[in-house]
Amino acid sequence: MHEHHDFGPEITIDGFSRHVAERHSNVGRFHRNLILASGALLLVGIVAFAFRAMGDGFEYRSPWGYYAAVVAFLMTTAGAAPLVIVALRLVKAHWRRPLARISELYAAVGLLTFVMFLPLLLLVPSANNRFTLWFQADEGGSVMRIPGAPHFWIALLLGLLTVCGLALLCISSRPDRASLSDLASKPRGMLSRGWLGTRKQWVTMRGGLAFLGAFYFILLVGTLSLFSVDFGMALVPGWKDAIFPAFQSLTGLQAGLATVIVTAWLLRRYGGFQDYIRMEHFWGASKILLALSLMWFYFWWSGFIIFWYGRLPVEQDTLNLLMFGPYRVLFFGAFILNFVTPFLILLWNVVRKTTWGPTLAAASILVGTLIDKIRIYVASYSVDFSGSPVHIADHDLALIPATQYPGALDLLIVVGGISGGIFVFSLAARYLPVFSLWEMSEGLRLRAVRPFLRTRLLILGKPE
Amino acid sequence: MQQRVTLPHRQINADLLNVTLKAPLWWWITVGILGIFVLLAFLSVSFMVNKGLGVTGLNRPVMWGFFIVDFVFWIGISHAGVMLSAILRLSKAEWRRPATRAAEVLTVLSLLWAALHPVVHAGRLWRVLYWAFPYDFSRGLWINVRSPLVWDPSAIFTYLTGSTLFVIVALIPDLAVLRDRTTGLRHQIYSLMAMGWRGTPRQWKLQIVAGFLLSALLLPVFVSVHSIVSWDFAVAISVEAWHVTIFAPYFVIGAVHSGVSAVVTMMILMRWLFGWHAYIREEHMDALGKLLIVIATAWLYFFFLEFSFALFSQESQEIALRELQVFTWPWWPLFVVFIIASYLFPVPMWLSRRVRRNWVLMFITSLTVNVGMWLERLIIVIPGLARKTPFNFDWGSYSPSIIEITILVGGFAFVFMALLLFAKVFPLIPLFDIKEGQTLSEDIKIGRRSVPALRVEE
Repeated sequence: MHEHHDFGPEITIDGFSRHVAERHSNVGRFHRNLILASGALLLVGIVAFAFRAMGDGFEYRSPWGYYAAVVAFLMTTAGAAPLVIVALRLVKAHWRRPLARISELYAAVGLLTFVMFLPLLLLVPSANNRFTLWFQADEGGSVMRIPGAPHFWIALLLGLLTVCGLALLCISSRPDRASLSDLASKPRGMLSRGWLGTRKQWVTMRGGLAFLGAFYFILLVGTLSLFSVDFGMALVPGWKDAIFPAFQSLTGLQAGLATVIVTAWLLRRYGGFQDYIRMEHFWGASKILLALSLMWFYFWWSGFIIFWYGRLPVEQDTLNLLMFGPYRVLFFGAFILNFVTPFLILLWNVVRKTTWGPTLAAASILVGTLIDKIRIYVASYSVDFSGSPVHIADHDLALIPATQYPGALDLLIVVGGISGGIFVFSLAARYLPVFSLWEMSEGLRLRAVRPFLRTRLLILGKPE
Repeated sequence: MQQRVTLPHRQINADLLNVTLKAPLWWWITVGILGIFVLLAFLSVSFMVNKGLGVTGLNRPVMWGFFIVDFVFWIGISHAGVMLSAILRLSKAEWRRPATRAAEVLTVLSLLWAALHPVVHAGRLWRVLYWAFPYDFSRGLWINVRSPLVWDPSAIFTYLTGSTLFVIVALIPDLAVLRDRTTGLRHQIYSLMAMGWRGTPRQWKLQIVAGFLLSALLLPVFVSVHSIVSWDFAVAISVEAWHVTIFAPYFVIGAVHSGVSAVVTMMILMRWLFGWHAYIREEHMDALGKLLIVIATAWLYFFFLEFSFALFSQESQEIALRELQVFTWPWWPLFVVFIIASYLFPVPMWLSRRVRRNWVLMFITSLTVNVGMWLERLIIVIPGLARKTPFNFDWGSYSPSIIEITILVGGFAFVFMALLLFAKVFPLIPLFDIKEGQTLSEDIKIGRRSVPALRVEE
């Protein structure tokens, strides 16, 4: 490949497709080791889960806070990652192309998240005689009965989200499966399921992607919102915070993008794809990450100031439980890692225009998101234990429990859960190329460098 | 598909300065009629100052009426400028070009009108000074800096200053064009305002950098303004339905919804009135329509959260208020109109590409959004105060007086009249931006097809 001064190496469609197909057919050592290591840790996590279930059962929630946190973390990171490409396709950003398949492959992790979510159904009471968004109950009896709330509905939402994500991945990868089949020494027509690349097929595929993308967005926001309320906030008496579901959805957008950025960096660094994943892609993503990090602060502050200024005892108890009491270290950690660090890193254009700057900020956000989920869910679940004076239908919190530090099982469950996500992603990347071949080829066709006055400028096609 | 129109620079100047250099007869008549309404509004304010707040419909417990509803509404409209201009400038969206100036000017004018409301609402206008400045040093009487009512003027005036600077910076190259096309006193005034603009590379660089910096600086200010307006309501615990954590982003997204819709309405009017068919095209409406679908849906999500969390804990006061808003006369029809006009009518329409590219339908839908959003503010403010609480013992009621209605109408007349006056002095579409857009446009050949493309600087 020939290096052209400012516009990156000159890449041909044919050369790119062959390179990616070749890398795809030969699993690298890093990839193989990652599958093995993450698979082993997932197994350890499953064993830890079994011990926890046998030892503590599902009668009280307090032993399960860390488990709920890791489910929420997977939902927020891997669950939101496919949304990155949905949004970028919507605004037709050219720099999206190398990130497309990375983002979509995370839809496969949805299967693991769904399976891990199911045990939580045993821990959360139905919407009868407690506060819930399902408007089902008050102190005098039922107001409006919604059968199965919240268990059935949120499981349905999460199930639909998983199916929608997989459908998105399946439809989007169809032309690539055909290309891989054509490039393979033994053509495998089964993979592409009759894809010939006719105009009708392309129009149908694009329509399908737009429809499923919009549907995925609605389902994700709905799932994150309802999960955060029914499996978090509603378990703490007196915690009534309308911005919380929106805040959790926002952290999904932030963490989803961070997940894609970190994965792209790893592929660039260890996958040998430096020519395709370049600074301009990190630069484009970093601007959005900066905006989302600022919004993280704005959403947190908008909720906090109302409680802090209002001075109602019930609100002060909530602040103490979640921010300034037993989990204050986690709160300040999340605040620093989700807002302060990415803000200070991404504030500078020179740093944004590197591959390491946005990656560092994204890694900070991922750690911050994990800490934040632990803070929220461990705190919420900690109020329910044997002999607790707190009842879920109370209007205020009778007791702020002490900090619940993680035991060995909790740590193994968290590590196993996160490793499970990495394992499923790595496995999916084994069967589908990590680049969307058709989208990259389209980008190469729509790109040219031409002279303009006394300089040379990049020309980007905007067909619509 | 993009509808590219390439015009010679001379024609762009002639087209976009057609009102500025020589105003047609309709312009004088329209400004005259609108001026009468504005005059009536100012006469109403004068009458109210003379007689006191008793001439309004305000009463106990409904102490906030049309004045505060209008205040929130116009602050909302003012969010159009930054939303469109700053965000689209930073994201380098090509279709921003004909919309930015009008949006920025709309921001400044609606802020000016909005800022008048708290002053007028004081009844004795001069008393506002007591809230904003320390008024008795010797006895140590200071304003309450912890009150959002003090944060409000700070945020609004910062936003007004920033937005005005934003307009001026973007105007400079166009002022030079006007300087070169006028004579006599007008030439001297434009020369002064153009500040020696010659279009040198250094001047262009500074102008672009200033535009970007102001865009980035104005974004947090724009968010803070409406957030602080929402905290006027939300930080107090006296009205349960207002003490809601989601109020700040809910107000901001609502403001963006109404502001961008107002820009759509205004762009269509500009096209009709000034004949700018080559500049304001269907592709712009299409892009704005798509943007509005996203904004409106985000707004609906926040509305859903705000409303459903009122019922979350099943408190009797909250339920009583929601019943008042949704099921009780005269609020229920207003609530129904609000929901239909803000979302249920326009958004399904915008889903259709044919509607997004239809001028009349876009005009109607964008207008209905603002009817809905004005009603939203009314439904938040008045029933919130009108409901029975342990301290006011009874349900309140409110009907606006003719004074308040005149001031409400005067507000719309003022903003529209001021826009026309602005168009008489400055171009409402930036000439240099349109020319830049033409210069940056290119084509790429793919097979036998020519695809519209853009020259990208970075």
